[in-house]
Amino acid sequence: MKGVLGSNTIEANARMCMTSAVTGYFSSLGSDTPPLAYEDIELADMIMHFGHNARESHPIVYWRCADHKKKNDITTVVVDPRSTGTTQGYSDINADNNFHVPTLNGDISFLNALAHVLLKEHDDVVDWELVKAHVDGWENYVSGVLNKYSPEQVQDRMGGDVPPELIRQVASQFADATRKRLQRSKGSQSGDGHGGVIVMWGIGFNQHLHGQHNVISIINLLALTGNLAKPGCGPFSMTGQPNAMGERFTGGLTGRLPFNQPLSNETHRAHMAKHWRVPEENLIKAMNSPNPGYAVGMHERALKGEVKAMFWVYATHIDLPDQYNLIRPALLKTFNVVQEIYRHAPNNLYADVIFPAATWGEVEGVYISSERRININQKAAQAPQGCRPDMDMVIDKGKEIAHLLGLDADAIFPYQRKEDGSYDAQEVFRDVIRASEGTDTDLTGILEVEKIDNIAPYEQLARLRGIQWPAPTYGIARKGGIKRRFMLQEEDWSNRPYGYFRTQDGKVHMNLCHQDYSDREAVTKKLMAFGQEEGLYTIDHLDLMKEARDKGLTPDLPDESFRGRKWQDVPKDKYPYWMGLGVVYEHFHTAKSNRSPTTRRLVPEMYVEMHEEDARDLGIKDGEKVRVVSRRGSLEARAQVGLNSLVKPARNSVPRGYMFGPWNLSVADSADPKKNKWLANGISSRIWDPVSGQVDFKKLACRIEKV
Amino acid sequence: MLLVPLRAAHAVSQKITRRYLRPPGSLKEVDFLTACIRCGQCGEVCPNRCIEYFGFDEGVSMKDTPYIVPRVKACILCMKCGDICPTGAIQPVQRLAEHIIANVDMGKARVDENLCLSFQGKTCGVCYRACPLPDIAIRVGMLEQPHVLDQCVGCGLCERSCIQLPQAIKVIPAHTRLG
Repeated sequence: MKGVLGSNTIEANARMCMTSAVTGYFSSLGSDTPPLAYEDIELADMIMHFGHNARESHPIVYWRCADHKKKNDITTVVVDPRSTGTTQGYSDINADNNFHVPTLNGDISFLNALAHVLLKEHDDVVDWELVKAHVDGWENYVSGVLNKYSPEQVQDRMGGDVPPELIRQVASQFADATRKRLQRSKGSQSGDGHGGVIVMWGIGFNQHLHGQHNVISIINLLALTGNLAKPGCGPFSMTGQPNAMGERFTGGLTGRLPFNQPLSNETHRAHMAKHWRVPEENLIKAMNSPNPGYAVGMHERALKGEVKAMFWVYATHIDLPDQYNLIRPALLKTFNVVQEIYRHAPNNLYADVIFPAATWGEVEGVYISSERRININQKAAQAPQGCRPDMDMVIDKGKEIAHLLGLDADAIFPYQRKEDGSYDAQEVFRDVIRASEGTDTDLTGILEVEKIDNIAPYEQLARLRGIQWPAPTYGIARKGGIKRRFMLQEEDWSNRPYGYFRTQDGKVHMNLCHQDYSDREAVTKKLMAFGQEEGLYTIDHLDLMKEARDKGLTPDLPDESFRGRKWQDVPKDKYPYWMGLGVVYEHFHTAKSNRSPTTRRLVPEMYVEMHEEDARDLGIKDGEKVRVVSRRGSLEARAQVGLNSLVKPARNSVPRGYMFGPWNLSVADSADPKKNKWLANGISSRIWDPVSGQVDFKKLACRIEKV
Repeated sequence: MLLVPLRAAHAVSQKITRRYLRPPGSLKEVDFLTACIRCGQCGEVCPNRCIEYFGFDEGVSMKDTPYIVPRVKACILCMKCGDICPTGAIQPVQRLAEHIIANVDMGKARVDENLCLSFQGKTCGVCYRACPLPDIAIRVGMLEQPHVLDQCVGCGLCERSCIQLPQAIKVIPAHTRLG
């Protein structure tokens, strides 16, 4: 896309999922790098979860944490407006050191308030040594949180039952966990001790119009207390799907190049042009072609007629936000070339050309997990006739287009076909590794091992059960890559492009993030106009996106004064309740798992979790069919009222005023979009974080009607 | 004619090696074989179509009596079979949790910890999620490990849903219980 076409309009599903984590990491640490490994879980003294129902969305990690809690009685904190199986499971192990913090959108203020309490009441755990030597911007952060973010001052923004005592309790636990690490390193923050606090977060935390600021706030707090760049502590972003990091690593996003550098980095751009064997002008052209609004913006530009054609590979694009007003009209306008594994996939309805693709198990390749581990995915079966691996089709498209543009297609894509006609993914992997030389994600050690020990890269991955990047030398690659990053935890290597941290000045950048609800209604009112007014595009209102982000707001505001009424008595232009969209254990993301008889039997239809008292106010009984209506669209669902609901699954509790439903069943209803009543993103808003591009799927305002 | 049922009970212990359940609310096996008139109405009314009928292979005394193989299709406890049974071989039971727990005894589920994924360091819990009486018949502990409780009625929905091959949770039929 970038090297051949010179296009900057390329987006990956990470944009809907975790670019807040990506841009948060970039801003604070200089690199899209979770600096820990899974091993650190068993070394931690406290684990916090923000914005994911880990037990349902990251069950392996969750039970690993729970196992550690069971064996070592660590403290756990679950920050989530809902009371989920995650917090229940931890409480089952030990309710005395499990804390549920039900804040709704107040995360930035909560994190800043924790810092405030630590500075005021637990100064012994503040790592002044690290802060003064390795952190830039700490003075502003410290004075800011001390002046404006006491537990009492943030109460107006908690959005739930988070009284000052709870904040102080959590802070106290945080301090105790940090003290344990200090004890192990004999009182020194820079000693050999392990442990402290790991903060994990999931997609719920990233999916805010201030998502990047959310993540920065976590890293700020951890840096302040020295819970960074040591074993057993740190900021651990949980990826949304197994290969999210693969997309980020290879630069599959607007403005990015592979290996964690932007298009605007001159040296790196020249480096990539050389390794891609493409003219640098193409990359410069890409850099100068803005794609404002990223994934959302792409579709607004399609509506405006600027984007005329799209390639889609391996995602359910209809499930992007504001389906009815933005996505579907946009997709109906563009010429769409789709690579898809299912004949009945919703994307195919909008496709002008369909290339049948081979799927997982039918292709060989690599993917990258949350702990930077590159894993091998082996081929186990033959794809049906006519279905080709996605990579092969992309290479062939690239060759054809390069040829049509007068470029040297064979030089750019020098890959030879194997006997069975497919390309060799390992050969492409070697090409990627060669190009990573000297970068933040240098993998060239793998090629050294191949040269010296005669073990092919895929074989190395299989034997070592994956290799964590970077792996820049023979020795490091042989050991399985770099386990932990920053503060010289890595061994040294000759052309390492950074010192203590990956930023320009080698320091952690602490940026105090704010939340300010003082003119919340006025600003949110403007946000709610998008998707309602014709010809109103977010990409023309960047300043408004920034303002909403800087104040830590939500895309909708519910009309709370209309709560307490029967559903028939709520006017058609009022939306009294919050509605959140998320995932459920039994299904995975959009389309595929609801074709399985087992999972389909377990969660067969769209449901919406409702608090008992809200249901009573509305006059809705458990199991009744309701319509959830937002300003932009509606969906139908079964009302699941309380934990004894007959509607499966009934295991999570929502607070009053908040409703929750899965988006996994979006395409399980009719294939015909006009008949499909479960298109969850028909209700969602398109307002995006100006830096991360993510949208908020969890704080939409809705009205409930009985069907 | 009285000799037939006694011989039938004897025949059961001789011939059947296949694991099967009787419909929910059925009398004890010996009494069931006496009372059942092989009319076929229970299977006809079953909306889930899980009730099958024995043929000649299992012997004359079993022929045309209803059975359920949970792994093929489990019982959803709709309790319609008991309502329609003309002789009370299947007792009518009200379709409410307390009544079902008290009066249905098709068998009891048992977990094979050597097969169950949750006991092998993975996490599953599908059986718990399929159970119509969660936390009453099955509860889950660490890693979603299932623990069958005393009040399991043996409907077999857990066995039907188990994603392991062969299934890691099986209903041990009431009629195979010793004593």
